[in-house]
Amino acid sequence: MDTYARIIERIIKQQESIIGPIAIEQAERVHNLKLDWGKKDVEVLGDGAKVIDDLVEQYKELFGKISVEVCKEAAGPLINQLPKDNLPKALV
Amino acid sequence: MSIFKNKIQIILTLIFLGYVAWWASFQSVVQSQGRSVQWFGATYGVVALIGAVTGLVASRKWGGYKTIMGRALLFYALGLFAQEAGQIIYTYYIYGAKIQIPYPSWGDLAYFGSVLLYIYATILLAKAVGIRFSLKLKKYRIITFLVFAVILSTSYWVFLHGHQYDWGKPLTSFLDFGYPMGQAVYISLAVTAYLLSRKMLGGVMRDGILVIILALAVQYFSDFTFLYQSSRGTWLTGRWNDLSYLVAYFVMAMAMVKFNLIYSGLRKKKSTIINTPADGGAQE
Repeated sequence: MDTYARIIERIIKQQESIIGPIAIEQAERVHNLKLDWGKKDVEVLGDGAKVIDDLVEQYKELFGKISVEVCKEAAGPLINQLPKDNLPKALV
Repeated sequence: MSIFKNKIQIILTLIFLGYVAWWASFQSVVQSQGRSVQWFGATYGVVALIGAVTGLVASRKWGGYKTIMGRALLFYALGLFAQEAGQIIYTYYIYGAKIQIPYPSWGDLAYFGSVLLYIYATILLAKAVGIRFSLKLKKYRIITFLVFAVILSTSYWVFLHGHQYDWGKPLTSFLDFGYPMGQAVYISLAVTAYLLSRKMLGGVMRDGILVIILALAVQYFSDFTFLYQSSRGTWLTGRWNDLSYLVAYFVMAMAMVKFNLIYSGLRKKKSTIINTPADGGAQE
């Protein structure tokens, strides 16, 4: 699993711990993101940074800026492993 | 499903308005504590019961005990159950067993239990609205300290300043202290959660969370008034305090309904991100 997918997994896990299964349903609506959450399998199709931005935007609908902070916190330990020229804008 | 939930909202509102009308109808004769007043006092907790059942349903949808939101809703629902249990037990003492309510009694187990349940639920709510992010700033840590200091010291001053504890009855002494301070803790947590999250909290959850905080404020007003009046021997069934409890139960029950509706709304909603190019789109 690449770093974008690992960040996405951490974000979904964190949101799931707050709101439960609806967190996975929200993630499944994100374009270019394929999930098999039973196996914790995350596949990013296309630009990983864009997919993360879309995922964060999806969660933002729930708690607003607080959701963004939760996503940033979840991604924190891995964000430095992403290429500097393609960081998700929502997490910067 | 949505129609069913809206029906609960309508039924709950009609029951609430019915009780308000009933309460208004006996105000001119409330001093005589007639049968209508007794029945009112014994039954308006049904609003809390409906709220509790609705809250259990909502909790399950939001992940139940395993998640922060699900557990918060679960403990608010249990708090409402405890309120109703306390009311039934007190009613039994007064009108069933026809005895002076013992203190402490099983009713206190329920009522004090509801205070503890609300405290835990509000800690979880504060966690859900991310107050830890605000607490990184010194300004918000000071606000938190001030909220707790003002509310706890006011409660202490009103209810416990100069209070004579009966150390021969440790449970009585514990409840004498625990009721006002416990209630002060849940409202302090609620006020803190509101103040520390109001700039960041948005989205579809905002309204539901604000309704819970409003319900806690009305519940605290009711609890404060009850303690104040009963400590001075002026409390009477069917007066303003019972009406404010009815409002508190109604607002909390509506919050529970709201979380069911938010969940249904989210499940129905189509993705808002539909125009993303397959290759991820150009980066700015």
